[in-house]
Amino acid sequence: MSEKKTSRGIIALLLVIIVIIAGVAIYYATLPPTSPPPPEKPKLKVALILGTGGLGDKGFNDLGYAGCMKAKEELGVEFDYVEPRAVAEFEGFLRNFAKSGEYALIIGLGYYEQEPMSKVAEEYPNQKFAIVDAIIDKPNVMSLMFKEREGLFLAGVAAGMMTKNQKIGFVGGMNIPTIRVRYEGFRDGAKWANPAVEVLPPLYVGAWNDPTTAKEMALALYNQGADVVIHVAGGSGLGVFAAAEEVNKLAMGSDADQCYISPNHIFGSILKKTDSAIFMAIKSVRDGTFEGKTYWLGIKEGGYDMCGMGTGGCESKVDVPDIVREKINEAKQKIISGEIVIPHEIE
Amino acid sequence: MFAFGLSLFKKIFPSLLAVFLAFIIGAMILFILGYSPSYIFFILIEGALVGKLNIGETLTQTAPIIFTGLSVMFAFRCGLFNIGAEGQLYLGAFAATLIGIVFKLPLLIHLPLALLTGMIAGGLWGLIPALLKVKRGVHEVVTTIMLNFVAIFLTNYLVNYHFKKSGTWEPRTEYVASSAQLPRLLPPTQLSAAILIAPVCAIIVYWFLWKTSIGYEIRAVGLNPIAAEYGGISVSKNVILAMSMAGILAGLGGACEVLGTHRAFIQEFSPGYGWDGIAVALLGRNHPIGIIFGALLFGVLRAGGMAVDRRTPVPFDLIFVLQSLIILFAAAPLIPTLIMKRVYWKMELEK
Repeated sequence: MSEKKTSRGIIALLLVIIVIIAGVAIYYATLPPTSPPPPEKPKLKVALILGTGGLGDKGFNDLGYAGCMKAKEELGVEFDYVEPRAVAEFEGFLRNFAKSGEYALIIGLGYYEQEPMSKVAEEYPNQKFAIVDAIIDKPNVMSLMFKEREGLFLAGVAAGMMTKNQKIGFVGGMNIPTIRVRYEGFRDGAKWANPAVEVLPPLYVGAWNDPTTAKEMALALYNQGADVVIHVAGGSGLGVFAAAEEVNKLAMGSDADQCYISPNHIFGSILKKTDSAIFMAIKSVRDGTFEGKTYWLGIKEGGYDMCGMGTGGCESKVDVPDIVREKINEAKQKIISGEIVIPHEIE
Repeated sequence: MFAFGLSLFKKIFPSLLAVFLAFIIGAMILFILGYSPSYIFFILIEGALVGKLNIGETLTQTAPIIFTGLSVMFAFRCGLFNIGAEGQLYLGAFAATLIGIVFKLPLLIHLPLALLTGMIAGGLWGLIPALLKVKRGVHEVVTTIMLNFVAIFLTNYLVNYHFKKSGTWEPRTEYVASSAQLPRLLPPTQLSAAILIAPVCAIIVYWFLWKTSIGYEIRAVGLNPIAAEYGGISVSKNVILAMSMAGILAGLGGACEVLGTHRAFIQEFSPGYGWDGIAVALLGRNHPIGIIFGALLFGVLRAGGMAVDRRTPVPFDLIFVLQSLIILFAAAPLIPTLIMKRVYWKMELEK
């Protein structure tokens, strides 16, 4: 009997809670739908479709978002963004954005969006698209490519000058063309700056999100005598920094400024300026100079740069001798003036 | 008729209540976060059900969840937890793609052959945990979860290193031959004939489980394996059969997904259809027809969620919150059952 009473009590309590919740819900459901007030003057609107890594990767995707934020602040454009969770969702998102017709430009981040975007771009020939890190040969798609060899050449110069053992190492995310050419650039840059340097063969993690394996690989490189290791491995790169801390050797970051992660061991990061590229694409649409062609962005075009070496704005505390800095500046100048020619084609 | 209606109502009421409660709490979360719940839900429903493209997207996302839901349900009716629908889906998808790429055959042979291969691959992947359970007593929850990762990484490896489309860095295979493609129903959306195959499968599963003696044996094992054994039903045989069938259903889902929706195998193409299958089986009260409706709801949530993600500042994660709440209320039978008892008791009293 008492058991029944308690259970009735519980039921009554639950019902009261549900009624309150339902009351609140109905109250708000009956309010007129409050859509955001329409802006007085229709603003330019762009769409950003992030890679599956999503926001918070401290690299590629965050930089893409930063580029849109910059365009929002400086050019006054609006932007909507989505974070697809699977490669298979790109096509649906792209078509949805294109169908709405609200967007002056639809930006895709990364080569995973190549196939779906070329398909949707064909269906909507009047919609402008931009894609980073892939080439789509269509009049309504702007392809933004980076001169990966050139950027990593600069990193190679820095690593080649910083090494004391005359041995440096490279940890890549995957054994794919776009990473292999970066190794080539890195190797050539190091050899150019310091012909005595030995660049150990590259190691590939096989994933963009596996710091544990990356750490083991970096340790292997340090054990072979390398005292500078660079990573081009996205989220896996954190393992390289952990290894550098463990053996107290030097490391380099990539994509974004990563010096703050381990300021005493990372003396510089090679910056792939996805944000500038996206800003450029949005600006071209605003200015009416949009062209559906492939842009190759290197040091001259502001696509690649370097932080650290006491240039300010970077938290690295590693002591970098003046001669290293001079050599890097020399390399930069010679690349810009065309004295050093680095091919940018990728297989 | 009234009695039938009442018993049907008794069956579906807990699921409806779970969805209702989930939406109310979802609305409260949205309100606390400073968004207008009515506006967000309006976008959600419009983005899922208004217009050809949106309906196409919803049904595209519904079809694979029906398959995985049936897969989970089939194993559950035999008292087994198939957490491995995701892995079976991947293997079925990859096997079907291989047939689609490698062979050049007339449509009438090629398409059924590709689908069948997908079913066999999924079935074999389901057979492994069943054999381990029967021969070695390994619990199927552990093995099926583990085999998901094996399947996903195995297909990752194959697509990246052996079957990658040339001329792209994207981890995808070549397109399957047109003779192996499921027809599209609503171009330009990706909706394919998979949405027609799925309900047919649901009906076949219903017939198999409830109208045949083998189905009766499977259900008997699920209800009480000891009693079934005593009654002369082989538990081992039915465990193996049920897990294989579960794998076959998920594998067919994967095959339909690549042959219909994507026309190629894409690395990690599934946004978690196998996991959704578990939730949908639960929500559909482990009944084939219930699963169709449950999958439809999840398809609406996924497609509508894309619209919410695109058009509002609310992230797609809201959809996961809603899904999780639905699962929570559907899995916690206490609340609906208590309310049900109360209602039922009152009805008895009035009689």
